[in-house]
Amino acid sequence: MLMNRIHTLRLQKKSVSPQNSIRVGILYFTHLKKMFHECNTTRDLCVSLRLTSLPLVTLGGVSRREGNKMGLLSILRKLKSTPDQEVRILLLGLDNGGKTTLLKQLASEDISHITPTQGFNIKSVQSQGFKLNVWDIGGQRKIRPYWRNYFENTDVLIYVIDSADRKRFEETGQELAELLDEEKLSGVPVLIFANKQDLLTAAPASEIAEGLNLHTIRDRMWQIQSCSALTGEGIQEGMNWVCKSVNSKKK
Amino acid sequence: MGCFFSKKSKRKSPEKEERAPTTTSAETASTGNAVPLGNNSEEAPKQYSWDKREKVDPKDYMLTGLKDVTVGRLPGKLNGQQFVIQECENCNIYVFDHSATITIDDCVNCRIVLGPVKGSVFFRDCKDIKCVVACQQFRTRDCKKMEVFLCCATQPIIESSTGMKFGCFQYYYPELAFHFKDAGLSIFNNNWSNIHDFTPVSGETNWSLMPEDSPVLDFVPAPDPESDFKSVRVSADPARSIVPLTKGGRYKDSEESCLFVFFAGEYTTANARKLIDEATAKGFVLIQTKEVSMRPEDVKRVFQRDADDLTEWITKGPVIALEMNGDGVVEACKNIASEVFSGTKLFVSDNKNTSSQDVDNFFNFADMQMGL
Repeated sequence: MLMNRIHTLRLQKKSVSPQNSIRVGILYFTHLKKMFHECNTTRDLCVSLRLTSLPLVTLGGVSRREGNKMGLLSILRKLKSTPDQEVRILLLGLDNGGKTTLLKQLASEDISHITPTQGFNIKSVQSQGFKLNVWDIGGQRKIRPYWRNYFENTDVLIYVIDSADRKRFEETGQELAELLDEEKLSGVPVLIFANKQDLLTAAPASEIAEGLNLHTIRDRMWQIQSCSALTGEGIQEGMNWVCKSVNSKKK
Repeated sequence: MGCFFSKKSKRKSPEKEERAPTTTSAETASTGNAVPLGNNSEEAPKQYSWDKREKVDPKDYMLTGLKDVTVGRLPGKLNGQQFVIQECENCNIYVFDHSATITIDDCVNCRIVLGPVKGSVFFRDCKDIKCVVACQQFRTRDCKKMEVFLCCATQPIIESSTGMKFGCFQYYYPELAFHFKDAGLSIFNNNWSNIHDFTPVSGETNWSLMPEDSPVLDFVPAPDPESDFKSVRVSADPARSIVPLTKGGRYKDSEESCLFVFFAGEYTTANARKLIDEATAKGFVLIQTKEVSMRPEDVKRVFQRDADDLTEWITKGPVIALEMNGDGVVEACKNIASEVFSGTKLFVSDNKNTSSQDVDNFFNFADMQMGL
C-alpha cells in the first residue's frame, strides 16, 4: 500500500528535482513512523519496507546506496517525537488483592501458579509506545512500612482492591488515604483497580468509589476501573488511562 | 450494608457537588458499574462478563455467625464460586466442592474441610481451628492454634500467627479428584511443609510440623451420620488419599535418594501412583513430588546425561517427578522401572553416588519454574 502511495506521489511530481524528491521522501517518511516503532534495526526497517528495490530518487537524496543506511535511520529518528518513554509505575494494595496476578497479566504470562509476594516483583512491559516499568510490592501488614522505599520518581500509582473482601474495605481505604497524603507521591495520578469482579460477592466500582470518598480527591488525576486480573477484563481500559495520564503530565 | 470505609478527618470536607458515582451508574442487573468513575471520565459504560451474569444473593455463599452446628456445601453446590465463612463457633464445616477463593474470619473452635480452592484460602483472626485444606495459596493473619492438613501449590505464608501446625493433606471422597481438576490444582504440587513467616519472633517458632501419622479424623471428624453430609463417603486412610503423602521437610532417615520422572503420556498420573505404592511397599519413603512443564533447553541442564532422548518426550505435556528415599532405593527403583514400567517413558537415577545431584537438579529447576 505504501508503494502505491509513493507511486501516486511520483506521478504527481512532474520532475524529480532534488527538492521535489525530498518532499516526496518526507511524505513517505511520515507514513513510516508507525513502522519505525516496530523495527529495532536499520536492517529490519529496510527489509520491511523492501527498500532495496525502491528507486533511490524517491528517498530524496538522504541516503546513498553505497551504504549510508545509518544516515537514513538517523533522519527517521528525528521524525519520531521522543524515544520510547519510560514510565515508572508503582503497584500497591493489601495482601491478597491480586497485584502479582495483574503484573503477570500485563506481561501476558501464565497466571495459574502465583506465590504470595515476599519482597517485590518488577517487570517491564511495552504499551502504546511506552515502556512501563512496573513495581509490584508485597502488601502484608508487616511489610507496608517498606512501601515508602519505592515512592520516589513514581509516574503513576496503581492501587489494587479486592472488591470481594468486604471485611477489609476499611483497611484498604485507610492505606489508600495514607498513600495519598504522602509527600513523595503528591500529584501522582492514581488508578484504582476494583479487582476480582469475577467473584460473586464483589462490590461494584461505584460502591467502592463512594466508600473511599474518591470524589474528594482534588490534588491529582484519578480513575477507578472494574477489572478481573484473572480473566483480563478491564485491564486494558485501566492501562489506557494510565498512558493518557502520563501524556498529560509530561506535556 | 454499613460503612466499611474510614472517614479520616484529614481529608477536606467534600463539597456538595455531583455525586457522580452513585447517580450516573444505574445499579441494575444489566448495566452494573462499568462507568469509569474519575475526574477524567469520557468513555461510555462498557459491559463486562460480571455485568451480564445472573445476579445471585451473596448470602447464599456465606456462612455467618453459626454455633454448635454441622454446615457446609455438598458436591456440586458451590461449583467454583467464592465462599465466605465468618464468626462461627464450635462448628463442623464441610465444603465438599471446588471454589474460587475462601476467606475465614473470626472463627473459634471449628473443624473445617475445604475442597480444592483455585485461588487463595485466607484465615484471619481465627483460633483453635483444625482443618483439611487444598488450595493454590494459603495465608493466615492474626491466628492462633491451628492444625492444618494442607495441600498448597505455592509456599504457604503466615503473619502475626502463633501455634500453627502443619501436616500433609490426607483425604478422600469420591468427587475429590474431579474437584482438584476443576480447581486447576495438581495433586503432585504440594508445598505443605515449608512455611514462610512474615513475623518471625527470635527465640520462638510460630509454626511447626505435626507428628507423622497424625490421624486426620482425630482432628477433623467425618461428618455426623445424622447430618446432610452423610451421603459423602469420606475417608482419611493414607492409602486412599487423593494427594500422595510426602515427608516434605521432615528429617530424612537415609542419605540415599532417587529421582524418578514420568514423561507425559496417557497414564502418567496412574503410573506415578503405582510407583509410590510399589516403593512404599518395599519400605521406602516419598519425600516430595512435582508436576511441571519443561522446555527442551531445560532437559540438558536438569538431566545432564541422556538429554537427547528425553528432549522429544517433554514436549507432550508436564512431567511428574518423585523423590524416593531409603537405603538401597536407587537399585530398587531401577528394578521397578524395568519390571513394572518397561516401555514407559521415564527417567530414573542411575546410581546412588549421583542420585542426590539428580534430585537437587530437578527440584531446584522446578522451584525456579514455579516461582515468579
